[in-house]
Amino acid sequence: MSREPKRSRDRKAAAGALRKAASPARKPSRLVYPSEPPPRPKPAPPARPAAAPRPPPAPAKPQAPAKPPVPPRERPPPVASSHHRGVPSSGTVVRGPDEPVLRVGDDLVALQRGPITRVDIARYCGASGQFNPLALDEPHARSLGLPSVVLPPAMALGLAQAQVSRWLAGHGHIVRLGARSVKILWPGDHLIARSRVSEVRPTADGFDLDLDLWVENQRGELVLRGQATCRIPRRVPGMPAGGLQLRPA
Amino acid sequence: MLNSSLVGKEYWGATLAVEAGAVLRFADAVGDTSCRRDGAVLEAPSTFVLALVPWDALAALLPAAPAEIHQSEVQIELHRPVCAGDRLRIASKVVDVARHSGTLGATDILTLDDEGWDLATGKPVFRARRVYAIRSPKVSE
Repeated sequence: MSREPKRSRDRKAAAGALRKAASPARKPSRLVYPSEPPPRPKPAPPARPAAAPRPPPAPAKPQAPAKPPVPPRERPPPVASSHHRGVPSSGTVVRGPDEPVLRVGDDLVALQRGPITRVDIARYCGASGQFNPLALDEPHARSLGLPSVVLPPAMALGLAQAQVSRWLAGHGHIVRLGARSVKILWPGDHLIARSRVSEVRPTADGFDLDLDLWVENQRGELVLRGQATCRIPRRVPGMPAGGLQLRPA
Repeated sequence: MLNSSLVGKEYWGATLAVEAGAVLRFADAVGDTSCRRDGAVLEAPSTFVLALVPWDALAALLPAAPAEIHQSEVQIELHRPVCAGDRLRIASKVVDVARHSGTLGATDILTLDDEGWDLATGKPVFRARRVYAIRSPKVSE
Protein backbone atom coordinates (compact mmCIF):
# COMPACT_ATOMS: atom_id res chain seq x y z
CA MET A 1 0.00 0.00 0.00
CA SER A 2 1.46 3.31 -1.05
CA ARG A 3 1.16 6.49 0.90
CA GLU A 4 1.41 10.04 -0.56
CA PRO A 5 3.93 12.40 1.02
CA LYS A 6 2.57 15.22 3.10
CA ARG A 7 5.14 17.75 1.92
CA SER A 8 6.57 17.77 -1.55
CA ARG A 9 9.82 19.26 -0.28
CA ASP A 10 10.39 16.37 1.88
CA ARG A 11 12.87 14.80 -0.39
CA LYS A 12 13.53 11.89 1.73
CA ALA A 13 9.90 10.89 1.89
CA ALA A 14 9.38 11.45 -1.80
CA ALA A 15 12.32 9.35 -2.66
CA GLY A 16 11.03 6.63 -0.45
CA ALA A 17 7.67 6.72 -2.15
CA LEU A 18 9.19 6.58 -5.58
CA ARG A 19 11.30 3.67 -4.56
CA LYS A 20 8.31 1.88 -3.19
CA ALA A 21 6.32 2.51 -6.35
CA ALA A 22 9.13 1.31 -8.58
CA SER A 23 9.81 -1.82 -6.66
CA PRO A 24 7.02 -2.80 -4.44
CA ALA A 25 8.56 -6.05 -3.58
CA ARG A 26 11.53 -4.38 -2.05
CA LYS A 27 12.14 -4.65 1.61
CA PRO A 28 10.91 -1.84 3.82
CA SER A 29 13.20 1.07 4.44
CA ARG A 30 13.68 0.22 8.00
CA LEU A 31 15.91 -2.54 6.92
CA VAL A 32 18.11 -0.26 4.83
CA TYR A 33 21.51 0.22 6.22
CA PRO A 34 21.58 3.59 8.04
CA SER A 35 24.55 4.96 6.18
CA GLU A 36 23.10 4.14 2.78
CA PRO A 37 21.84 7.19 0.88
CA PRO A 38 18.26 7.28 -0.26
CA PRO A 39 17.78 5.12 -3.29
CA ARG A 40 17.20 6.81 -6.58
CA PRO A 41 14.32 6.15 -8.90
CA LYS A 42 14.61 3.21 -11.19
CA PRO A 43 14.97 5.09 -14.54
CA ALA A 44 18.18 6.56 -13.30
CA PRO A 45 21.27 5.01 -14.83
CA PRO A 46 22.39 1.99 -12.96
CA ALA A 47 25.29 3.79 -11.41
CA ARG A 48 26.68 2.47 -8.25
CA PRO A 49 25.94 4.67 -5.25
CA ALA A 50 28.86 6.90 -4.45
CA ALA A 51 29.06 5.91 -0.87
CA ALA A 52 28.19 2.30 -1.24
CA PRO A 53 29.37 0.40 1.69
CA ARG A 54 32.52 -1.35 0.97
CA PRO A 55 32.56 -4.98 1.69
CA PRO A 56 34.29 -5.72 4.86
CA PRO A 57 37.93 -6.48 4.35
CA ALA A 58 38.56 -10.08 3.65
CA PRO A 59 39.87 -11.87 6.62
CA ALA A 60 43.56 -12.30 6.52
CA LYS A 61 44.47 -15.51 4.78
CA PRO A 62 46.13 -17.98 6.96
CA GLN A 63 49.80 -17.98 6.22
CA ALA A 64 51.06 -20.87 4.20
CA PRO A 65 52.97 -23.37 6.19
CA ALA A 66 56.67 -22.71 6.19
CA LYS A 67 58.46 -24.48 3.39
CA PRO A 68 61.05 -26.97 4.35
CA PRO A 69 64.55 -25.54 4.17
CA VAL A 70 66.13 -25.82 0.74
CA PRO A 71 69.30 -27.80 0.75
CA PRO A 72 72.32 -25.63 0.15
CA ARG A 73 72.98 -27.04 -3.31
CA GLU A 74 69.98 -28.10 -5.31
CA ARG A 75 71.00 -30.30 -8.20
CA PRO A 76 69.01 -30.31 -11.42
CA PRO A 77 66.99 -33.38 -12.20
CA PRO A 78 68.86 -36.21 -13.78
CA VAL A 79 68.90 -36.67 -17.49
CA ALA A 80 65.82 -38.59 -18.54
CA SER A 81 66.51 -40.58 -21.63
CA SER A 82 65.77 -44.10 -22.63
CA HIS A 83 68.43 -44.28 -25.32
CA HIS A 84 71.39 -44.91 -23.11
CA ARG A 85 72.28 -48.56 -22.75
CA GLY A 86 75.39 -48.20 -20.64
CA VAL A 87 75.78 -47.51 -16.97
CA PRO A 88 72.66 -46.29 -15.20
CA SER A 89 72.44 -42.68 -14.19
CA SER A 90 73.54 -41.75 -10.71
CA GLY A 91 70.94 -39.01 -10.70
CA THR A 92 73.59 -36.32 -10.51
CA VAL A 93 74.39 -33.69 -13.12
CA VAL A 94 77.97 -32.51 -12.76
CA ARG A 95 78.67 -28.99 -13.91
CA GLY A 96 82.39 -29.33 -14.54
CA PRO A 97 85.44 -31.50 -14.10
CA ASP A 98 86.48 -29.43 -11.09
CA GLU A 99 83.58 -30.67 -9.02
CA PRO A 100 84.91 -32.20 -5.85
CA VAL A 101 83.10 -35.45 -6.39
CA LEU A 102 82.80 -37.25 -9.68
CA ARG A 103 81.56 -40.77 -10.16
CA VAL A 104 80.46 -43.24 -12.77
CA GLY A 105 76.89 -42.59 -13.83
CA ASP A 106 77.06 -38.82 -13.41
CA ASP A 107 75.50 -36.88 -16.27
CA LEU A 108 77.06 -33.87 -17.87
CA VAL A 109 75.05 -30.73 -18.49
CA ALA A 110 73.15 -31.27 -21.73
CA LEU A 111 73.61 -28.94 -24.67
CA GLN A 112 70.73 -28.06 -26.96
CA ARG A 113 70.76 -26.42 -30.34
CA GLY A 114 68.10 -25.73 -32.87
CA PRO A 115 66.27 -25.42 -35.01
CA ILE A 116 69.11 -26.14 -37.39
CA THR A 117 68.64 -24.01 -40.47
CA ARG A 118 70.04 -24.34 -43.95
CA VAL A 119 72.28 -21.40 -43.12
CA ASP A 120 73.70 -23.39 -40.20
CA ILE A 121 74.35 -26.29 -42.56
CA ALA A 122 76.06 -24.04 -45.08
CA ARG A 123 78.13 -22.47 -42.33
CA TYR A 124 79.26 -25.87 -41.10
CA CYS A 125 80.04 -27.13 -44.61
CA GLY A 126 82.03 -24.00 -45.35
CA ALA A 127 83.93 -24.12 -42.07
CA SER A 128 84.71 -27.81 -42.37
CA GLY A 129 85.36 -27.88 -46.10
CA GLN A 130 82.99 -30.83 -46.48
CA PHE A 131 80.93 -29.83 -49.48
CA ASN A 132 78.65 -32.81 -49.67
CA PRO A 133 75.99 -31.95 -52.29
CA LEU A 134 73.50 -33.94 -50.26
CA ALA A 135 73.77 -31.29 -47.54
CA LEU A 136 73.91 -28.25 -49.79
CA ASP A 137 72.19 -28.90 -53.08
CA GLU A 138 68.43 -29.10 -52.65
CA PRO A 139 67.58 -30.11 -56.25
CA HIS A 140 70.23 -32.82 -56.08
CA ALA A 141 68.78 -34.16 -52.83
CA ARG A 142 65.25 -34.13 -54.28
CA SER A 143 66.42 -35.92 -57.39
CA LEU A 144 67.50 -38.77 -55.11
CA GLY A 145 64.05 -38.99 -53.59
CA LEU A 146 64.86 -37.12 -50.41
CA PRO A 147 62.45 -34.47 -49.15
CA SER A 148 65.24 -31.92 -48.69
CA VAL A 149 68.91 -31.59 -47.96
CA VAL A 150 70.22 -33.45 -44.91
CA LEU A 151 72.36 -32.39 -42.00
CA PRO A 152 75.91 -33.72 -42.07
CA PRO A 153 76.14 -36.23 -39.20
CA ALA A 154 79.46 -34.65 -38.27
CA MET A 155 77.45 -31.61 -37.27
CA ALA A 156 75.71 -33.64 -34.58
CA LEU A 157 79.06 -35.06 -33.57
CA GLY A 158 80.37 -31.50 -33.38
CA LEU A 159 77.56 -30.62 -31.00
CA ALA A 160 78.36 -33.63 -28.82
CA GLN A 161 81.99 -32.63 -28.78
CA ALA A 162 81.03 -29.03 -28.00
CA GLN A 163 79.02 -30.25 -25.03
CA VAL A 164 82.02 -32.09 -23.60
CA SER A 165 84.41 -29.23 -24.40
CA ARG A 166 82.14 -26.71 -22.74
CA TRP A 167 81.93 -28.95 -19.72
CA LEU A 168 85.71 -29.34 -19.59
CA ALA A 169 86.12 -25.56 -19.91
CA GLY A 170 89.82 -25.88 -20.54
CA HIS A 171 90.46 -28.20 -17.60
CA GLY A 172 91.25 -31.12 -19.87
CA HIS A 173 91.28 -32.38 -23.42
CA ILE A 174 89.36 -34.86 -25.49
CA VAL A 175 91.85 -37.50 -26.59
CA ARG A 176 89.44 -39.94 -28.18
CA LEU A 177 86.09 -39.40 -29.80
CA GLY A 178 83.94 -41.71 -31.84
CA ALA A 179 80.33 -41.84 -32.92
CA ARG A 180 77.95 -43.59 -35.25
CA SER A 181 75.07 -41.93 -37.01
CA VAL A 182 71.78 -43.63 -36.22
CA LYS A 183 69.17 -41.49 -37.95
CA ILE A 184 69.16 -38.92 -40.73
CA LEU A 185 68.80 -35.32 -39.59
CA TRP A 186 66.83 -32.69 -41.47
CA PRO A 187 66.78 -28.90 -41.51
CA GLY A 188 64.54 -27.64 -38.75
CA ASP A 189 65.54 -30.37 -36.34
CA HIS A 190 66.55 -29.57 -32.78
CA LEU A 191 69.53 -31.42 -31.35
CA ILE A 192 70.17 -32.25 -27.73
CA ALA A 193 73.61 -33.60 -26.85
CA ARG A 194 73.86 -35.69 -23.69
CA SER A 195 76.69 -37.61 -22.10
CA ARG A 196 77.35 -39.69 -19.03
CA VAL A 197 80.47 -40.76 -17.18
CA SER A 198 81.05 -44.43 -17.93
CA GLU A 199 84.47 -44.94 -16.38
CA VAL A 200 87.05 -43.01 -14.36
CA ARG A 201 90.63 -44.21 -14.56
CA PRO A 202 93.28 -42.55 -12.40
CA THR A 203 96.57 -41.96 -14.18
CA ALA A 204 100.01 -40.76 -13.07
CA ASP A 205 99.23 -37.10 -13.63
CA GLY A 206 95.48 -36.98 -13.35
CA PHE A 207 92.71 -39.19 -14.60
CA ASP A 208 91.02 -40.30 -17.77
CA LEU A 209 87.31 -39.95 -18.04
CA ASP A 210 85.30 -42.15 -20.37
CA LEU A 211 81.98 -40.73 -21.49
CA ASP A 212 79.04 -42.20 -23.32
CA LEU A 213 77.63 -39.65 -25.75
CA TRP A 214 74.33 -39.54 -27.51
CA VAL A 215 72.35 -36.97 -29.42
CA GLU A 216 68.57 -36.82 -29.67
CA ASN A 217 66.27 -34.83 -31.87
CA GLN A 218 63.23 -32.83 -30.79
CA ARG A 219 61.07 -35.96 -30.77
CA GLY A 220 63.46 -37.67 -28.39
CA GLU A 221 64.70 -40.03 -31.08
CA LEU A 222 68.28 -41.16 -30.98
CA VAL A 223 70.24 -39.73 -33.90
CA LEU A 224 73.86 -40.29 -32.90
CA ARG A 225 75.64 -42.49 -30.38
CA GLY A 226 79.29 -42.52 -29.39
CA GLN A 227 82.01 -42.44 -26.78
CA ALA A 228 84.69 -39.99 -25.74
CA THR A 229 87.73 -40.11 -23.52
CA CYS A 230 88.92 -36.98 -21.75
CA ARG A 231 92.31 -36.53 -20.11
CA ILE A 232 92.09 -34.27 -17.10
CA PRO A 233 95.04 -33.23 -14.94
CA ARG A 234 94.52 -33.73 -11.25
CA ARG A 235 95.25 -30.13 -10.40
CA VAL A 236 92.96 -27.76 -12.15
CA PRO A 237 92.25 -24.15 -11.20
CA GLY A 238 89.57 -23.88 -8.58
CA MET A 239 89.87 -27.47 -7.47
CA PRO A 240 89.76 -28.11 -3.73
CA ALA A 241 93.07 -28.70 -2.04
CA GLY A 242 92.34 -32.36 -1.66
CA GLY A 243 91.89 -32.82 -5.35
CA LEU A 244 89.22 -34.97 -6.85
CA GLN A 245 87.60 -37.54 -4.65
CA LEU A 246 86.61 -40.27 -7.01
CA ARG A 247 83.68 -42.19 -5.67
CA PRO A 248 83.03 -45.76 -6.59
CA ALA A 249 80.06 -46.38 -8.82
CA MET B 1 79.87 -49.66 -57.35
CA LEU B 2 83.17 -49.81 -55.53
CA ASN B 3 85.46 -52.77 -55.56
CA SER B 4 88.17 -53.96 -53.27
CA SER B 5 90.93 -52.76 -55.59
CA LEU B 6 90.54 -49.39 -53.91
CA VAL B 7 91.92 -50.73 -50.65
CA GLY B 8 95.35 -49.32 -50.05
CA LYS B 9 94.87 -46.28 -52.24
CA GLU B 10 96.33 -43.17 -50.63
CA TYR B 11 95.83 -39.45 -50.86
CA TRP B 12 98.53 -37.10 -49.67
CA GLY B 13 97.30 -33.61 -49.07
CA ALA B 14 99.30 -30.44 -49.14
CA THR B 15 100.99 -29.10 -46.04
CA LEU B 16 98.42 -27.26 -43.97
CA ALA B 17 98.93 -24.29 -41.69
CA VAL B 18 96.18 -24.20 -39.08
CA GLU B 19 94.81 -20.67 -39.06
CA ALA B 20 93.17 -19.10 -36.05
CA GLY B 21 90.35 -17.74 -38.19
CA ALA B 22 89.56 -21.18 -39.57
CA VAL B 23 89.52 -22.63 -36.05
CA LEU B 24 87.15 -19.94 -34.80
CA ARG B 25 84.84 -20.29 -37.78
CA PHE B 26 84.65 -24.03 -37.21
CA ALA B 27 84.08 -23.59 -33.47
CA ASP B 28 81.24 -21.18 -34.18
CA ALA B 29 79.73 -23.58 -36.69
CA VAL B 30 79.55 -26.42 -34.18
CA GLY B 31 78.64 -24.22 -31.21
CA ASP B 32 81.85 -24.76 -29.27
CA THR B 33 82.60 -21.64 -27.26
CA SER B 34 85.20 -23.22 -25.02
CA CYS B 35 88.16 -22.55 -27.29
CA ARG B 36 87.90 -18.79 -26.85
CA ARG B 37 90.17 -18.21 -23.89
CA ASP B 38 92.19 -15.07 -23.48
CA GLY B 39 95.91 -15.48 -23.07
CA ALA B 40 95.94 -19.13 -24.09
CA VAL B 41 96.90 -20.89 -27.26
CA LEU B 42 93.87 -21.31 -29.46
CA GLU B 43 93.07 -25.02 -29.41
CA ALA B 44 90.85 -26.33 -32.14
CA PRO B 45 87.76 -28.40 -31.33
CA SER B 46 88.41 -32.13 -31.53
CA THR B 47 86.28 -32.59 -34.62
CA PHE B 48 88.29 -29.93 -36.42
CA VAL B 49 90.56 -32.70 -37.67
CA LEU B 50 87.70 -33.75 -39.95
CA ALA B 51 87.98 -30.35 -41.58
CA LEU B 52 91.68 -30.87 -42.26
CA VAL B 53 90.93 -33.53 -44.84
CA PRO B 54 89.44 -31.77 -47.86
CA TRP B 55 86.33 -33.01 -49.58
CA ASP B 56 88.41 -33.32 -52.74
CA ALA B 57 90.37 -36.11 -51.10
CA LEU B 58 87.29 -38.28 -51.21
CA ALA B 59 86.70 -37.46 -54.84
CA ALA B 60 90.33 -38.27 -55.60
CA LEU B 61 90.06 -41.66 -53.94
CA LEU B 62 86.84 -42.72 -55.62
CA PRO B 63 86.69 -43.82 -59.24
CA ALA B 64 83.55 -41.76 -59.92
CA ALA B 65 81.58 -39.09 -58.17
CA PRO B 66 79.02 -40.83 -55.96
CA ALA B 67 75.38 -39.93 -56.25
CA GLU B 68 74.71 -40.22 -52.56
CA ILE B 69 77.22 -40.27 -49.77
CA HIS B 70 76.47 -40.36 -46.06
CA GLN B 71 79.03 -40.24 -43.32
CA SER B 72 77.98 -43.01 -40.99
CA GLU B 73 80.79 -43.31 -38.48
CA VAL B 74 83.77 -41.33 -37.22
CA GLN B 75 86.60 -42.23 -34.85
CA ILE B 76 89.16 -39.64 -33.80
CA GLU B 77 92.26 -40.13 -31.70
CA LEU B 78 94.24 -37.09 -30.71
CA HIS B 79 97.83 -37.34 -29.47
CA ARG B 80 97.65 -33.68 -28.61
CA PRO B 81 95.20 -30.89 -29.36
CA VAL B 82 95.47 -29.25 -32.76
CA CYS B 83 96.38 -25.62 -32.18
CA ALA B 84 96.36 -22.50 -34.28
CA GLY B 85 99.78 -22.08 -35.84
CA ASP B 86 100.41 -25.79 -36.29
CA ARG B 87 101.82 -26.93 -39.60
CA LEU B 88 100.51 -30.37 -40.40
CA ARG B 89 100.81 -32.94 -43.13
CA ILE B 90 97.73 -35.02 -43.75
CA ALA B 91 97.36 -38.34 -45.51
CA SER B 92 94.29 -40.48 -46.18
CA LYS B 93 94.10 -44.13 -47.10
CA VAL B 94 91.33 -46.51 -48.07
CA VAL B 95 91.40 -49.39 -45.61
CA ASP B 96 88.20 -51.24 -46.43
CA VAL B 97 85.45 -51.51 -49.00
CA ALA B 98 82.39 -53.58 -48.31
CA ARG B 99 79.00 -54.03 -49.87
CA HIS B 100 75.80 -53.95 -47.91
CA SER B 101 72.43 -54.91 -49.30
CA GLY B 102 69.48 -53.33 -47.59
CA THR B 103 65.88 -52.46 -48.23
CA LEU B 104 66.88 -49.43 -50.27
CA GLY B 105 69.26 -51.37 -52.46
CA ALA B 106 72.96 -52.01 -52.45
CA THR B 107 75.23 -49.63 -50.60
CA ASP B 108 79.02 -49.52 -50.59
CA ILE B 109 80.70 -49.02 -47.24
CA LEU B 110 83.98 -47.18 -47.61
CA THR B 111 86.40 -46.92 -44.69
CA LEU B 112 89.15 -44.30 -44.73
CA ASP B 113 91.98 -43.73 -42.30
CA ASP B 114 93.46 -40.25 -41.94
CA GLU B 115 96.63 -39.33 -40.17
CA GLY B 116 98.21 -35.98 -39.43
CA TRP B 117 101.81 -35.24 -38.47
CA ASP B 118 103.37 -32.12 -37.04
CA LEU B 119 105.95 -30.88 -39.53
CA ALA B 120 108.00 -29.23 -36.79
CA THR B 121 108.48 -32.34 -34.69
CA GLY B 122 107.59 -35.14 -37.07
CA LYS B 123 105.32 -36.66 -34.44
CA PRO B 124 101.78 -37.76 -35.18
CA VAL B 125 99.08 -35.40 -34.01
CA PHE B 126 95.91 -37.30 -34.78
CA ARG B 127 94.42 -40.37 -36.40
CA ALA B 128 90.90 -40.55 -37.68
CA ARG B 129 88.71 -43.19 -39.23
CA ARG B 130 85.76 -42.22 -41.38
CA VAL B 131 83.14 -44.62 -42.66
CA TYR B 132 80.91 -43.60 -45.55
CA ALA B 133 77.82 -45.20 -47.02
CA ILE B 134 77.94 -44.61 -50.75
CA ARG B 135 75.43 -45.19 -53.51
CA SER B 136 76.64 -44.95 -57.04
CA PRO B 137 74.56 -43.24 -59.68
CA LYS B 138 72.20 -45.45 -61.63
CA VAL B 139 73.45 -46.21 -65.10
CA SER B 140 70.84 -45.25 -67.67
CA GLU B 141 70.46 -47.50 -70.64
